Amino acid sequence: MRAALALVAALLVGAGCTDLSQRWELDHARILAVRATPPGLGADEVALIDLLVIDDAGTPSVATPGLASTAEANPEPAVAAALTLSPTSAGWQATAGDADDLAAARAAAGLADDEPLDVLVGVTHSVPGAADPLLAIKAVRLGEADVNPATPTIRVDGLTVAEGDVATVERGREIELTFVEEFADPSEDEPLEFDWLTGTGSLTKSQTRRGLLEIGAEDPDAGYVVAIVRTATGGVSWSWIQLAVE
Amino acid sequence: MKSPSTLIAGGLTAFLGLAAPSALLAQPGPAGNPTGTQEALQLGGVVYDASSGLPVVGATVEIDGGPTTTTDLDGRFTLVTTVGATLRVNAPEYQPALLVLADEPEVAVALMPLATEGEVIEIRDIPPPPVAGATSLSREELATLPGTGGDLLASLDALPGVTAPSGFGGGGQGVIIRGSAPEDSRILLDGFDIPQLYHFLNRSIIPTEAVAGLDYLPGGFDVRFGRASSGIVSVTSRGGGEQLDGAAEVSVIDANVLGSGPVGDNGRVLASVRRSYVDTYLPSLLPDDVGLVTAPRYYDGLVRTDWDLTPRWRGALTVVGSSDVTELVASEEQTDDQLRFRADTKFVRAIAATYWRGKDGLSFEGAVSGLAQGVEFSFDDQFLDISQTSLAARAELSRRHDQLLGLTDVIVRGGAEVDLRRAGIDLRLERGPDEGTPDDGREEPLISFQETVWLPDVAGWTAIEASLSPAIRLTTGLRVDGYLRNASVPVQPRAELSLKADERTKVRIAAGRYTRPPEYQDELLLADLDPESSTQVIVGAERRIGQGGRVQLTAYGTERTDLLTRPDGGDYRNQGRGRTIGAELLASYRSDRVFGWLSYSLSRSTRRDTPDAEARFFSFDQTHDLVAAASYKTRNRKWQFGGKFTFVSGQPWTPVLGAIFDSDADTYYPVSGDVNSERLPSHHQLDLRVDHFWRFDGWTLSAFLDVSNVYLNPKVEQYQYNFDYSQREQIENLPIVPTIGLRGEL
Repeated sequence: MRAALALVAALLVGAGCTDLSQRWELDHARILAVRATPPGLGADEVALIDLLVIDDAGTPSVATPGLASTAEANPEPAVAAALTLSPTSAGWQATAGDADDLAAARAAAGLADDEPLDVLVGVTHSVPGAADPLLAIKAVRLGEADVNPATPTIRVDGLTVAEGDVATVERGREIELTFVEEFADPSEDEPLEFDWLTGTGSLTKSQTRRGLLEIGAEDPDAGYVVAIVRTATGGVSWSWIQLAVE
Repeated sequence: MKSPSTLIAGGLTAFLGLAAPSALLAQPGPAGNPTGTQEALQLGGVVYDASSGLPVVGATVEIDGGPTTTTDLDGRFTLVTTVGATLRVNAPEYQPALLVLADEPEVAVALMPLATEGEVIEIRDIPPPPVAGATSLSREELATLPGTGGDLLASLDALPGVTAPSGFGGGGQGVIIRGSAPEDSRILLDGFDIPQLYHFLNRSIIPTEAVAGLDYLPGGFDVRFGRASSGIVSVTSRGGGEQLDGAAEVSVIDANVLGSGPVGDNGRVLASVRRSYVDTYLPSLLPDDVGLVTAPRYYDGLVRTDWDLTPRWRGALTVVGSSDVTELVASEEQTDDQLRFRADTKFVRAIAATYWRGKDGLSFEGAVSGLAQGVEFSFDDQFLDISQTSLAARAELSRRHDQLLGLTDVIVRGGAEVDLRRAGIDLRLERGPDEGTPDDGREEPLISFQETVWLPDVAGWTAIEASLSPAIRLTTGLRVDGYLRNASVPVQPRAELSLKADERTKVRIAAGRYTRPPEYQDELLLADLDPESSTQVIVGAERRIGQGGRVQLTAYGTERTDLLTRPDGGDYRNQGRGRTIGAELLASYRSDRVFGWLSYSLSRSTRRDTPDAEARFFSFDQTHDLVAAASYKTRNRKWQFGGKFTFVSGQPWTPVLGAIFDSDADTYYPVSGDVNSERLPSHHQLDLRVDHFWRFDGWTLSAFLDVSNVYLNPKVEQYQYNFDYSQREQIENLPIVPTIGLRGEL
């Protein structure tokens, strides 16, 4: 209740104005998403772990985690042991344990034999010049096969823009950001979640299928737009384009 | 040998030609009216026993040829008279007292017990505080203290040991006294809890105009008070006068109308009604995406009637009520969601009290009170619906003996109280972080509870006060509370030793045990908790300086045990301990035209949430708290100027050192540093107030401008982090808050 009252008070005194960066702003280095491909594994199956990150200039890239571990992220050792992480030339590989390992982990987590088991993976990403690496966690689901959503293709004001390509937009008017894909929700209880991020302008409805971007007179002449799609079961996909502002 | 002040009193009574030279009144300040006109005077005062300092209940206070009234439970009275009139005070078992009124709006009258006639009489300008470190504020002081806008509870911040809460949530429903949580202290109106203290935007429920005065007992209080492990703020409602009286006040927030007058031959009534009108202009100030379904508005009202049933027996009925409603809808900017908030709170409390003063030093005070309260709150998918009714009663019988068991001036008291509450609770809420628990960014599961809870609390107490010698007085008492829902019966012994070093200086030592029932918010959901407990030791010295001056120095230590904590996120358990040590200085000066106030508190309040945990600062710890206030009324009484300077340490704060990104939930979990290991910045500000009075035939019009924080030094209320905790900024309160008001008074 205290949080609600604080929110109401903030609304009533117009305290929504802030200089803090918003979650849709690509303005400082951070991890935008952690991906396991595939996000759901059967016994002895293997997934690849990678990251979507941006640097301090707001440039997105796909990166390999500096470190990946299940030990600190899972309080139950048997759960942590159900997924083995190892660095390879292709990145960090996560290998599900055998049926016995999964059974032991389920027992430790208090799950039934046929229930899926989420094992948290902790990852790091080092940023040049920063004292500490960025930290993130992501669950890999064991005992239930799953796939990531399709890679989204972005439309700017109805025009399709291929990943990495440049779209030219105007200042001072509302720009519609949508997807080519339909992206049907898997179920009513587990709708897809969307995230639009930009390196120029201001976004509203950034957590819906249809983001609205407006670039003001003071905003940069160029920047990236990133779209991320998440499922409720840990699937994730992303893409980005560049904007050139006229 | 008589003291100098006694000689002054003797000279005054001789001048008036009184037959009884020991009849006494204490009236500070110069007598007379500089303009020589019959100037109307809104007079308030207190009548107390000259030897014990206790209030005299039911004393008759009359102006020769004018209005008459009687003192209430706290010995207080108010009436309208003129400068230069003669005030006469009578009470059974006491010698009468007479006083020629000067321009002073507040008087204190010390009555001499008949049995002790012939003793040296001590003149006091204001009654002694009931316990070391305690103090009182009159209605006029509450109404004109700069920076408060005349708000009753805003004035509490000027008291030593009271922490001004930070954050929009403020102190919630209480006051932070000596570094403890708001729920550890109680704010009482005429001896009973007020279920809701604040209207929306922290405006007090009880208008200052309807209050006779306020007593602040930060600790070491008497056995007659209980269910608080820290302090007590006791507010006394104002009784009506013997003649028709009225006042109206408008400010930018609300308007208040008050009227009082006689009822029949022996009755008096006072009624006050207030309504906010923020709802008329607030919608135009809100952002476009915030829709007000019901703009915030509140009503409150208070009616008090007093009857003199016999010369020794009087009764009073007080009814106080309040209603607040707010409902708004806001569009969430980044989703298609809408946020809906609604709050609807209301209560009515009725208090019927009787005071009887018999022969042979016997007296009785009793009161019965009923309460009906409704609280409806909803936010998004969370809601709270509470319907509470309560029937409470309290009574105390006391007898005074000149001699008993070899002791002199002995008062034996015994009392009991019962509070039977029934609360129908229907809720689905996020529990929210506990005191000192940093926000971990994770959504807590909502808790649901649908049940009717009975809360029967009973208590009994007894105390004996006696003079061991002319300079030493001892009070010992025992209070036993029964928190029956929790099957807990804490025994709480308390004592105070008072040593009179000279006629103006007194040293007091108090110690005792205090408990708070586990009935605050979701503590109610568990019936197997023990009360929180504190052991308090207080040493104080007080000295009167001249006429109207007083200095109090108090040192205290409080050991808290059985604190309710749940550091593991589970259910509450009585596993915390805490300690508060501190010192307070209060210097005050009151004369007919000058009011001065200097308050300084130094304290350190720490706690352990479990026996093995490291000690940390309590979230309400405040190291330094300095308040210096003064007001001055011009000689022609047309202007009053006041100022208040405040310096306070920042409250403890738990820093965020970093964050972990949860990719699946697309959210960040903060990594917190040690609990309360940093502090918000300290703060200082100056508040100014000016009042102007226009006096007309039969009524007075006054206007005030009260400006808080005149040199625009914003106070940091809390820190706000961005979504990934990589940046933070200060949340500051409004840099300057002007309040204007207009008041007409018959």
